[in-house]
Amino acid sequence: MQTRQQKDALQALGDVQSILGKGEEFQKSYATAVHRFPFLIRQNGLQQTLAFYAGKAHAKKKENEQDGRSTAEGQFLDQILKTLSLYRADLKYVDVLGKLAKADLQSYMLHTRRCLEVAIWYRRFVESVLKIDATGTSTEQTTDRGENHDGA
Amino acid sequence: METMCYYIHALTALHAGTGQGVGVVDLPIAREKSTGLPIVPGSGIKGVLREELNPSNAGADDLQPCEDSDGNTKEKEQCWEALFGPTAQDAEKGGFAGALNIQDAQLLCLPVRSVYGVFAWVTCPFILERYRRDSKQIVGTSPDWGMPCLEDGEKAWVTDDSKIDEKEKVFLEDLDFDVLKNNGNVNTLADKIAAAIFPNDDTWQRFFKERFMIIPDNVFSFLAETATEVRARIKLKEGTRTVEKGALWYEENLPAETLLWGMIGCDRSRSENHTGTAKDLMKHFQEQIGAEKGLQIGGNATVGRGRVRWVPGQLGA
Repeated sequence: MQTRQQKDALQALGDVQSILGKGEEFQKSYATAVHRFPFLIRQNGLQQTLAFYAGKAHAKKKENEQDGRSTAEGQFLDQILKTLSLYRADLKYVDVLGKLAKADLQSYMLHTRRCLEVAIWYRRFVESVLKIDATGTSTEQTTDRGENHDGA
Repeated sequence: METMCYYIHALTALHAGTGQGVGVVDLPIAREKSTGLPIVPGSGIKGVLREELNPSNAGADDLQPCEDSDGNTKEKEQCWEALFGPTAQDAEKGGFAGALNIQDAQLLCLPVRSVYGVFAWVTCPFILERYRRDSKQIVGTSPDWGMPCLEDGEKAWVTDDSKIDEKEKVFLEDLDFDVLKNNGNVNTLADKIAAAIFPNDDTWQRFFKERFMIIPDNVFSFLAETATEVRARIKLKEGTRTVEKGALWYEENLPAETLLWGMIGCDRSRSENHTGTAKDLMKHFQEQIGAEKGLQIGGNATVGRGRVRWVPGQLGA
């Protein structure tokens, strides 16, 4: 038996490592998408956030490509959607989002919690594997986030 | 041990933090391990009250000395030390624990954005049962209000005077609830809590009753996790006024209008210089603290966080 955290970490590590071979600009866009994701869920809710990423991916998609799955936003969206039981690789984003929209409240709350839990691991590995922080810059010469800021 | 309760009403966002976090936000607020519900740790509240009643502080002329169990009047400093314990310097000469036992403040009502009435003061049966359990401990008997029945689902109780519902619906954040009304227990609960948190303030008691709402435990737990306030902070480089590398972080706060309650116990004095009983010392503490106080609790005071009303009160009154 493994904890959920172990499974989430393993999934996120593999997914983030798969971005290593991509160009610098792609990695930067991917890292930005990852870092902003949990914050956007907390600010706007899960449905809005997923729709926002689907819209970004669609806007940047290549000619003749469906959904923009090859874009940085699309790659991350695909990876994070895997954690939801309603995901299927052959479905368009709009279909997955439609299924989410029809979910009952208990399921929707669970999906939100799962996405937040998994997103943390993507953030950690973007920092340690891609070495890009929340501002889109290299972590190798920056201070830790928020350290020394928790006082009066 | 003597006991009393207190309430905290956040007037601004309140950051009672736990330092660096590794979760969704970089600087999360303190939460109870067993329930995940937000708390304000008693240690932080004790520190603030200790400073508020420190006789050495400017403006402390109103503070009064107290009498010990032998009827001897004690210096203000001796009473203060008996309540809160000696200062670090004095403790080196001979330490003792203060008589007060200030417990964590627990979430009572979370303000959540509402389409009607601006916001709702939301709570759930689990929290109200805990509140009742504390009431029973203080008063000795079960309070005279009952608990409204609420099954998990998408229904919620509001008071008969509610301003947050329209056409039998309440629209919170992005959650819609079917309204349940006309329940004497809900109205009584709202009356009791309003009177305890806003004593002698009819306007705010009315505001509270109009916005009071009881939702299912599961949904409340979800909101307590996701409907707290997260703010992005940055640090600017001097001169260029651009963001310093890596200096973007996210802070979590309890939103303004959050309501919490907590308990304070008072034991006998453990000081060699003061022989006050638990009853004497609690009476002295209550007299010194007086009615409600405006305090600053938690971190980030210089950026406007943590201004609260601290209200000593009665549970289940």
